[in-house]
Amino acid sequence: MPIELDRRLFTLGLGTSLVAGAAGMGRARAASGRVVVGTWGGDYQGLQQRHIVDPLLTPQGVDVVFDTANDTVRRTKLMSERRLPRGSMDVACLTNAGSYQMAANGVFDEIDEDRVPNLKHVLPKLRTSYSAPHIYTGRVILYNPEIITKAPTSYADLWNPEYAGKVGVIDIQYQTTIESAAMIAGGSLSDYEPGKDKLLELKEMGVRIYPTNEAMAQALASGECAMCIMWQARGNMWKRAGLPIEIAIPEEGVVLYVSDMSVPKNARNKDAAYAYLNAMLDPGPQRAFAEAMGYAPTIDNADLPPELAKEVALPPEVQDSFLVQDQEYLLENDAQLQDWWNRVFKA
Amino acid sequence: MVKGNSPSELVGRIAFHALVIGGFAVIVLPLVLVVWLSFVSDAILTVPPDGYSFRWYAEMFRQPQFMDGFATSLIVALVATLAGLALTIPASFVLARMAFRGRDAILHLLMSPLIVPAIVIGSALYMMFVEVEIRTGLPITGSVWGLAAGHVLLTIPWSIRLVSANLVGVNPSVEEAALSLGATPLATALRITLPIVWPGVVAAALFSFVVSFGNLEVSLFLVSAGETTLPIAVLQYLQWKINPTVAAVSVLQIVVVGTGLLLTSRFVNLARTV
Repeated sequence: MPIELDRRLFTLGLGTSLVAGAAGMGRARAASGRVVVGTWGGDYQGLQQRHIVDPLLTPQGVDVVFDTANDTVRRTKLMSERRLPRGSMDVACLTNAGSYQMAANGVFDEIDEDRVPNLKHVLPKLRTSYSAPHIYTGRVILYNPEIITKAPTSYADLWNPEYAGKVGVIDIQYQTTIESAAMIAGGSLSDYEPGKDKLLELKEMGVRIYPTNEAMAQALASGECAMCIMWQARGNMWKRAGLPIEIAIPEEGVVLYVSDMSVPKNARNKDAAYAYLNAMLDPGPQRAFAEAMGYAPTIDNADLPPELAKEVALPPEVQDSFLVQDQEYLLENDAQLQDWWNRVFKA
Repeated sequence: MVKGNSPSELVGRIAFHALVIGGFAVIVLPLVLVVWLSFVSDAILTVPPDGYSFRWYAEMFRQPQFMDGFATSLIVALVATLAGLALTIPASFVLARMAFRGRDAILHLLMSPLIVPAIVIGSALYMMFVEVEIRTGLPITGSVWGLAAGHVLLTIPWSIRLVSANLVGVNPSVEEAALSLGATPLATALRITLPIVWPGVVAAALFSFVVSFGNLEVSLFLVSAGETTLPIAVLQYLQWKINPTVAAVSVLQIVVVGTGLLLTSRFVNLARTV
């Protein structure tokens, strides 16, 4: 039977709705329901489950489902789904280069700071308008102190003729390798070009090229390679695994690697997505990632045990001069840098 | 081969055996190395290793993503194999038995998943699913059906080739005899032709299963949230950790595929079929 809605009843209903709506405004929206987190798998996903989901989100009634893939696949999915009214991910984990690219393409929401109260603890250097930083580390020099007896202080030490044949670079790290060379050859984070000639000098000296980080680890373990450029967190992991290496900080400055989390514009459950971002910035999960993976917390209230802080965090004097990659430059130049690396440097 | 005793025949025989042994070594060596690595106790391999243990097998069973991935890969591979055969057996009958305009074009089209890189197939399928969802509102992106459909595509070239190659070898007079004795074309296909080409069908099923079970690139795009396949779980594990756990997982995969091969060879002589 159709319901007759007369004018008085309609006005009463509208008034009631407006009052109810106004009462709800200004109150934090409770997160619940299903939230899909697009993330890397392995330990990264396992730690999120144990330290973010189980203790902080499940009790709130948020059901977290992981969409596991690597960064490239996630970016392709986000770009393809832009026109969908409801996307497949509520939270997207990406490298800071990836999240910059997605934000430039209009994929992400501006982060609503009122819904992520823990953002006020995030280190200012790591903040962006479109992402919340999850973990970070800095680029350093790893060396074998039995072979490289004098601790390196600069990327220029890789070019020391004394160590010719004992220095290695990693194929998949072409971008950061050219960048490091540029930093000692008159270039900058916005101009990698001078790094190319500098790297050709290293090639003349017999630099070893390893395909992956894992191959580099094997070479460091066997002593075939004694010095390389690497992320500090990876160095921490390798030291824990028993590799004979030490970490040296280049005087040119420490360039950061940041892993971000963002909320796509077409996320289905934004309340739960923001609750997820807030939970991952809690001191508990931040400490857990530092302990398990050797990355530094992105917040100022993680309160790490002194030994762990010494291992994962960079010295305070370095923190003031942290360098952040010029994502706009990389977005424009990455293809030609890779092309040069493959056709000229590796030829 | 008749054995001769002249020096040139002797040299030829030694060279032949050396080639055979060398060929087998190239094929078997990676498998042997993977099995060996899975028992090495060091996290990062050093030669000679410090010792041997089962710790990486224990680690494998502690990681839920490997077990979940194994189950998903198994189910998807079985579904893709069966669906692939349901499509390709009738298609092979048509392609092998009938002459019509465009026959070669269709055959090449069915072989195209072998030519196009799998990562391109995966991303293209994903984009197509998104477009279909935009136009129809059907939630097919990230559904288990999308993943199974992608894997069916991968199995088609293998099944088509193996089944139609066996069909070509069937003597048409046997089928004609059945038809002339009153059997319907369907009964002839099911009761006469299919039993003759059965080894080809089994081989097609085996190849389809192996191709689907080990596929990474297509699954990366099509797997739904909360699901993972074994190859994805291995890749993702390696992203953050290096230790021989993935070698232990690979041994599990070798055992599954190897068991499938051994069981199949009890019923069908694969060496004569493939």
